[in-house]
Amino acid sequence: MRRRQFTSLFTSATGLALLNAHVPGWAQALSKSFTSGNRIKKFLILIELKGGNDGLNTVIPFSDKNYRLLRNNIGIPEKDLIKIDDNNALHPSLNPLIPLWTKGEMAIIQGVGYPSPNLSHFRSIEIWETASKANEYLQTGWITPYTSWLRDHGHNFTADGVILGSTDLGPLNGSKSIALSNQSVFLSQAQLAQGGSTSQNEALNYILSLENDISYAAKGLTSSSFNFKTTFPRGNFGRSVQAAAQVAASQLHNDGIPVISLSLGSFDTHQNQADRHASLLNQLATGIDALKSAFKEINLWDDTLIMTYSEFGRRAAENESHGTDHGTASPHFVFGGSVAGGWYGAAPRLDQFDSTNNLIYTVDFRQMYATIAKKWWGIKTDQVFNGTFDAIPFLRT
Amino acid sequence: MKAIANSTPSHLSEIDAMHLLRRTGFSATPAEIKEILGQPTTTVVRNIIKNASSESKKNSQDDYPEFLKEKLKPYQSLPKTTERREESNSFRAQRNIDENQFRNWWLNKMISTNNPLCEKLTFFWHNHFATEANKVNSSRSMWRQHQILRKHALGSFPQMLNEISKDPAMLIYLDGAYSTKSAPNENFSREVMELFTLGEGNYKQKDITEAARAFTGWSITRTPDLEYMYKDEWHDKGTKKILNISGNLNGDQALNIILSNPNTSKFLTKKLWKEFISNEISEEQTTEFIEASLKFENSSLDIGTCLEFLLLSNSFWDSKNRGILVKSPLDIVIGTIRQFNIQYIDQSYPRLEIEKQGLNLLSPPNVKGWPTYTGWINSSSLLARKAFISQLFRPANTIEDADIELEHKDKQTMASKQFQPAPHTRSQIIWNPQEWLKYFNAYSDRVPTEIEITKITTALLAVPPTHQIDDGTVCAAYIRALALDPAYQVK
Repeated sequence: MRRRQFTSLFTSATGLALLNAHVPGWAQALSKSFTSGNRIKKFLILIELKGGNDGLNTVIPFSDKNYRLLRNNIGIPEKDLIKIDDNNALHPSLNPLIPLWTKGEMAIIQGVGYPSPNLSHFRSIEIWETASKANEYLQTGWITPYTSWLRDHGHNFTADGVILGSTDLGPLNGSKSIALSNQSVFLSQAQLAQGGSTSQNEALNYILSLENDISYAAKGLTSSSFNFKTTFPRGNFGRSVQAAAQVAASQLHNDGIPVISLSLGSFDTHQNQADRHASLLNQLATGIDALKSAFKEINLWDDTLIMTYSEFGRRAAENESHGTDHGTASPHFVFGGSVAGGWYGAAPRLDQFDSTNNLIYTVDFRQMYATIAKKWWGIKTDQVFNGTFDAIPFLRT
Repeated sequence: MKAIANSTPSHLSEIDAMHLLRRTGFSATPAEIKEILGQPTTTVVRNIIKNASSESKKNSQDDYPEFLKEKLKPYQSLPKTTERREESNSFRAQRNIDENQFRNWWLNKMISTNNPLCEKLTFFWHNHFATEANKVNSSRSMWRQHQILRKHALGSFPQMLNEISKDPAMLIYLDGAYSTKSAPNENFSREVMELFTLGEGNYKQKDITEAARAFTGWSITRTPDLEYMYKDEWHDKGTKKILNISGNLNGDQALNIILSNPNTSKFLTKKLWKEFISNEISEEQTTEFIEASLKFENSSLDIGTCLEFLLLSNSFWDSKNRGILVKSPLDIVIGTIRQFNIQYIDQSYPRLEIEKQGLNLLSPPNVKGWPTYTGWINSSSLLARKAFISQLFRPANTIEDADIELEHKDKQTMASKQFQPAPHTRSQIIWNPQEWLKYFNAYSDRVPTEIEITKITTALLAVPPTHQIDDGTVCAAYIRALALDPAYQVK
């Protein structure tokens, strides 16, 4: 009975008007054969570093004498640095990424930020997610118009995106995406929909079932069970990575889901940064390594692009609690089989700061988005985000 | 029969206070909880009812929607010409404007009142005596009906029934106004028994027909304003038999017979039970239910008396009965606005949001009223409820703290910052999460500690959240995530 309600919801004008990002237009997709359509060939995996990653201790400009001056206590010890050229090193936890770097499948884009930076988590992440200006308030995620364009040009996605580990749709806000907030909760909700429930709260069960119907309609997601040989890391992020691989595997014979969004946190290291940052970077690196391995197993590595982002970097000077406070520009990474590895952008100067004593950006984050839209997905639009942003050549042509 | 365990607390714990406030109001704000925390339960319940009752009986001298100052010229008095059709169109258009103003007025009252139980019950009876504004076609009459519902919301049900039944709005809506002895209209007679008093199965078709005869003569006059008018020449004065009682019964007597039937007190008690306690009455709750309806009956159907019993019952306080009722659109919209002291510029904002969730005050879908409990939730209303929350809790709507860095040593400065609407904002809605979070010593742009998580979660949810919230979620986003959790939909 509920499925029929969803069909009419999707096809009526009012229903479509009410569709928010939680409801994908699967009714039409379900009725079509899954083997038809133009399967997306370019996956995007987004990894949000929640809380503001300390870029300066991630990609370390060790030859710059200012580094040690600014970070007397929390600077990464010389002996631990993984030097990747004469001037720069990676944080030791990023060791699992070295093969990617050596193979040229990893690009580092330095100094990513935006003009008039906002130092509030809540607001700044919205700027990144909507690709707005600092004083502009947009409703839609930055990816939404692009998946929309792709749909208009022949692609019949199962969903625009899947968000793992969060209920917030962020960059996919307004698109036909679903949030699988937690794999095991999702699966037990699937059981609820099938009538099995131990909870005595009939009202809550009813609501959960209804919500679950929305997610459950994507059969492609729950039936996936590709047997990966890859060992996935333990912990929440490792589980999300595994789920991402499962989602991609489940779409091999379906119409595809172009975007998968993961998050890791919290990078908001105001005090005693060292251990927490090391642990998070370790989770990040082992997670990306596992993604590479898993996607190679299903022959998608060359068609996959992984990109990190974060609401901001952190202040160049350490604070009095062996940590760092909210900052601005930061390096970000792009990984994938089609990446032209190496350095892009320019490291911000460590002797020149903005009015809040923070690093000055050199690459606008919207350039990274523009690269994805124009070069990865081949979207023909001259104007991107109410302004023209040049692509960054981090993709092999 | 197994009886329910003693569950009524002697004094209110924090969780108890939240439960009571959520069920008798639209939400439980930190300030409201503080007021009753640790107090004796009986005293608090009695005060809530007493204050709501006083509120309900207040004269509306200065407090009423503006449109009442104008008098609408009834078009029905015009001869049937083009002029009349035009007048009728502009009459309807004006009526819509007036009724929207009325709705806004009422919602605003719900938001600002110190006695939300009064508003809750007024709405309860509005849903009970469901009357559609479009058929009544007189905003002034809808207002008069509203006043009757309000005045008796915690008072005498018999008086309320009596006044509602003779009020023009109901007489028009259920066609009583045109019911004559030669052609008695059964609409009101059926609905008064089926929906307003006895409930289905407790009367026969014959009772409906006979009662319809008794109600004839209850009519209206249209000049100058709609008013009750008894038309003796329309009244059927013959012998009638209603619910096994014979006589040449008139409308008042018919109502009295219905009211004194024990099924009436049971039916109404059950409705109140479902509104305040649980959707079903379990075996172990039956004793208390019977007690409640007897008490109601013995009090001559005094609503406040019944309510007091229900709110002090073990069934109400049983831990199994927490968080098992579905929030109405009023709980979602008004409740959230009250909880966070949301400011907004467009006075129609609450009304428009509530409408999207399936509730247009004064315009119930039919005489049965709005379907409550899970009836509030369908695929489209659930999406609307969530859209309301996700659109409300956006950075665009918060005060601008952008350039203030949360230095660990700036705790003091943050906490004392005065609320100001951000100059940049073109938003119509303003939310100040920091003001709310000060009750928990938490900060909107910081990740909450374990203790803060527990406090914030219990402050907003009656049952544990069903979804895990991402690590690294700052308080402002945490609030949003909790409000988007399915658990926020119940109370």
